[in-house]
Amino acid sequence: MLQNIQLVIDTAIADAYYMGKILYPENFKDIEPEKKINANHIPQTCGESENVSIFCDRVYWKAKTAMVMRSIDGKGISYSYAFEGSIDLSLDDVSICIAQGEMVAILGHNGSGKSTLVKHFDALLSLQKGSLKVAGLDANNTDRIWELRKKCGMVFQNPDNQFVSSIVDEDIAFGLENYDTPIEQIPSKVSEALALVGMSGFEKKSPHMLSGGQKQRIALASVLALEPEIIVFDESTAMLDPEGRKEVITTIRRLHDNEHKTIILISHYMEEAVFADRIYIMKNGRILAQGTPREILTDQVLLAEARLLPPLPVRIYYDLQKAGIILRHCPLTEEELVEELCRLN
Amino acid sequence: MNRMPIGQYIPGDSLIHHLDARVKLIAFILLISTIILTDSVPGYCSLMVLTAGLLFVSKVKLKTALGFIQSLFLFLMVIFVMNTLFFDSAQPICSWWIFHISLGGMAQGANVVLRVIFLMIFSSVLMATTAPMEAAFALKSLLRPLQYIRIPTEDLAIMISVAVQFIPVLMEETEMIRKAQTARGAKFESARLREKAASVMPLVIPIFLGAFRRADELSLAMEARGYRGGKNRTQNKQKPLRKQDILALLTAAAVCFIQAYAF
Repeated sequence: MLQNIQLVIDTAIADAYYMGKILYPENFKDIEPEKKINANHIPQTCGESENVSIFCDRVYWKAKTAMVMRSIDGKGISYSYAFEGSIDLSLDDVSICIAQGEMVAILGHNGSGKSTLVKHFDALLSLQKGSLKVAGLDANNTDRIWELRKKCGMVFQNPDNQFVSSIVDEDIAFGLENYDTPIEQIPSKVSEALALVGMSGFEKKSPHMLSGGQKQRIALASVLALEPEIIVFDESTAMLDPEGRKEVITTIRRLHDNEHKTIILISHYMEEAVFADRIYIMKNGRILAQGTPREILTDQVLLAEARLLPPLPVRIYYDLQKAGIILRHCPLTEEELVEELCRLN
Repeated sequence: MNRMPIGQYIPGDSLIHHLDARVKLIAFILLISTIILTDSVPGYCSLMVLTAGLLFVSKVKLKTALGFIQSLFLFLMVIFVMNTLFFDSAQPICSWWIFHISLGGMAQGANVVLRVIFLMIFSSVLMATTAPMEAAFALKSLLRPLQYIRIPTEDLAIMISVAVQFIPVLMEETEMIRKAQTARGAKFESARLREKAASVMPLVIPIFLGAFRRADELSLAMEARGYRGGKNRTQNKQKPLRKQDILALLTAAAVCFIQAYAF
């Protein structure tokens, strides 16, 4: 029994090691692959932060899914919009790697290139430089672009500009019809997709009559009907009220936890990125940093450089620190903040 | 803001809702010809009865069917006045310079206005009872002969149905921009024609820009969902016409025939 547990832990750590080597090469470069990896390596692999919980997060995330498959594998992607001969790079040598089943947030200021980057994932922009594989398909291969778009769905910012029909079920069927789905299968697929976003029974409604959050969930259902492996949310909550934002985020998290979809979330709201497995920070078309939410969102200097505001609990943590009140851990969510504050007494 | 948009499909369970969309389109064309062939008082009376019957059977509310009146009121008035003033008639009631007011002119004006109103009512009923993609499919199958002269009928049908469903969105946006520009001092309400005309530009340009931006985003969203033109799409199986479809078609043809010969 004890041996079995040891084996599971060893496997998880070995997995984490190999994955870590792919995702965080600089932190792992000191460790020889031949050496037997054991729990002693944990603090070292964390680099400077020396935080065991960060590593445990990684191990957990790693152990949760078989992390050999990579949904997104991009190297040296550069892109510039041609503007009267200007050569401003919207993307400058970006390398990004996202594992299957992972939920990754890409954060950045306006014009940092995050939207341009994800448009490559869906082959909406063609590669100018670099290489990119999405769900195992080469994004450069124009013959298989339609397969790629089936594997990688995308929900956009403005819910009103995504509907092709004024009836919910016709709109969801649109994607299915594009892939020549036999007509008998369409109704069942439509209702499955609606059930996934918690909107069964809305088949005959008009999207224009729904709330913002509901509209985005319908747009999400339209994407889900094609059973994609990866779903990209390009600031999909930016135009919603707090209530709608919560609805959409809850749905996204459920898809990640229960359906094991790879989620790529572009957002301005740091509070949404808290739930991600990993965060990329972008600035001026480059990737500034990447790591777990705990690493990234508590790093005031880094966020200031990217011109982003840390989540409210983190700001409170640092404000309290200035006032001489030191909490034991930096909280990320409101619940953690409450817990830490209660611990003060 | 949330008034019933014009031309919106209203899901329902009436006889008309269940008719084949192709039949509805042909019947609509027949009814339009009927309207154009009508120009007498009894003719209009019988059209009125016909409309009432249609509204009753389709369970479309009169308010929905007449929703356009408010926005088209000025247009209708202008048509009427123009016809009244400029229609060349043998016995004008009074004449001044190039204006001749005559009974014939008034009748002509009333004729045109009534035709437009009936036309709008019928198209409201058509749109309210036919789901957009169903209409697109019907249009596609009716346009099929055009394929032989290399017209991409599939794309055309999708284009029309997408365009139609954006009308309420664009109208809402127009209203919003109008209010925003009014707040900045545009004089839409001004009685002076010069100021009124000058205020059109600040309204039209943002609407066009907005429409282009929407079109751009929509095309991205459509492509992301795998749209690659009309080909390779699931083809709805051609359903044979049922008894009630043929009956409806015959009724429309009969109405057209009777109306044309009796009045």
